Amino acid sequence: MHHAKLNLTADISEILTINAYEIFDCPIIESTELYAMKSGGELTSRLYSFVEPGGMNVSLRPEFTSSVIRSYISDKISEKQIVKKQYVGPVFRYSDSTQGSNQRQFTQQGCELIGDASADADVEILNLSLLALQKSGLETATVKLGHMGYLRSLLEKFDLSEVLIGFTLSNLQLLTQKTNGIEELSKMASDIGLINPGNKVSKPTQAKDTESYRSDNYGRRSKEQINSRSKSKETNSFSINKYTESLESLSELLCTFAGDLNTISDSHNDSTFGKASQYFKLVAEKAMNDINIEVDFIVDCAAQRGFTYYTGIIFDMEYKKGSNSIPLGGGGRYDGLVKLLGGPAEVPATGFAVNIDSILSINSMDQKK
Amino acid sequence: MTFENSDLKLVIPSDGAMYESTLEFMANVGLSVERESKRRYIATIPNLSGITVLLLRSADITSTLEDGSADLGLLGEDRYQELRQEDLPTAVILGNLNYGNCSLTIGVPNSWSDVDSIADLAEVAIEFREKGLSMRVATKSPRLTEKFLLSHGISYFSLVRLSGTLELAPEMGFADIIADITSTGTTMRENQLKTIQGGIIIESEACLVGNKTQLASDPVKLRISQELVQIITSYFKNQMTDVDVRYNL
Repeated sequence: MHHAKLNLTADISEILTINAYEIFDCPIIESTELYAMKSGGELTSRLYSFVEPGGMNVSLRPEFTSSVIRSYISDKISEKQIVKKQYVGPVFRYSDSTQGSNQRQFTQQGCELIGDASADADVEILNLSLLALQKSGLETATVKLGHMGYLRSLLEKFDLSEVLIGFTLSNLQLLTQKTNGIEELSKMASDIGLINPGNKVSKPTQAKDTESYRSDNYGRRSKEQINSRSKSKETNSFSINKYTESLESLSELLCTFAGDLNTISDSHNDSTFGKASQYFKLVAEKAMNDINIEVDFIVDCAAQRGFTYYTGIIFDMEYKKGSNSIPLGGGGRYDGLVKLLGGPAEVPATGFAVNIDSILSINSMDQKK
Repeated sequence: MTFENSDLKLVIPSDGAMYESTLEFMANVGLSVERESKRRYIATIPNLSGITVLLLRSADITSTLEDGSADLGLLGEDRYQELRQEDLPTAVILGNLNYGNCSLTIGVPNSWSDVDSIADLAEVAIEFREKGLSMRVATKSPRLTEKFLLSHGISYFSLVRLSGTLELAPEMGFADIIADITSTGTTMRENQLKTIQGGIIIESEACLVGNKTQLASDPVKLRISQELVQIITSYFKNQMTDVDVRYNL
């Protein structure tokens, strides 16, 4: 097994090197805050964190992208320059028995392409990830495509608050996979208080009797920020019925805009999805250059990977074995991450990563047959 | 006073308000704890033989039950849920023992007049993220706090683990908000903090926790613990209140 892993990672690394991706030597331990900033809750609850002797809260890396971007920012590279980095090594994600995975450590390999906003960059990343699968000897693969940008613009049309958009994006699977998904999601949002029905006069629980409080102590928020949020709260109201209606339209759109990419029409009744469909076809067709494995491209926007930092195309690669599908890796575009992690401006970026252990497990399964 | 190794070991808190209230609770149910002196951390229950009482700091009770040094423990449920290791065989046997009441609650600066609810806080977390910052939450209970925030739509935050005077953290600038144990809310108020709607992480009372495997493997200890549970449940029946039986021995 060990030799197989060395061989496969060396082969994939060679492809990436030919395509000008420099090897990035990534630290195994980073500050916990770095990962929390990038992925938020989806990943932070699975971090192996501890306080180092110096008192700083650090974590074993759950992925590589955060470190690549952190290093990109500290190198103060001009945003016009294209940077290509590749990496390989173990990553660590806690999962308890209920999460169905016992892979708490696995080898991840991938790359990041920073500074290129073009469709060609999306094509290159998808193509490289398919080449990586091809190197492993796989003969078939399924690629699920989604697009965070189009999905987000759709949700913005419904006037949802930023919090509700984030919440909805994180729970899209509920909408399409469960028959009562809409009711369930509305109830969840309402129960945790994400719906502001408006007209409710805000009633601070204790603030009134504290004449002594110092008005200059706003912490890291400014007085202007607080005032402007207060004002927008007064004018923005959003009823649970309105949220349910938005979810109904969204669910209908998601269900009609799903399935085999070849059979999806470009003239979809929602122009957002028409554009998405054309984009997927363009990228998928070009990405199949030099690829000999049989790839099924499936549009499934609800299957997105849950990481809300994605801004454009997202893809998930799977291997179908009977009714089971084994996740192999994925990637996508994340144009906002450089700024989010403290960079001076938004810089376009895209990348992919594959799970080497998952790929090798398929090969050994097939050999046992 | 010595104890037999074969005795059932019951740990109770030796510190803070939980010490006094546990002794009072035990006396009320008819199982007064007798201590030789205030410096002796081993005690007995004259009304129930075969049981030794050990007094330990609240923070250490859960691990003592998990490693099998003790069989049963009385402690605040918030402490147990915060510190327990999920794959080890301990469980709450009786919950809500009607003393040691407190809640782990979110406190935000009074000056944040736009924040009244957990939904507001979720928006503020995004506001911080958009500025390239993460909302810092000071707490002594990182596990419960993290679980709560994530399940309430707040994904972007970082935890500042402190062991005391949390209420000062926002004013001193090393945290933006806090998640702290309160029983009346006075300390928060006095430190220019307010509670918000939906901001209670856990409402906690004392509970009886046991090491399931250890009790199941020793018939004598099992019998004594069943007797102890029986005495406590009868007490609640006499008080006309329901006891929360979570695990049947």
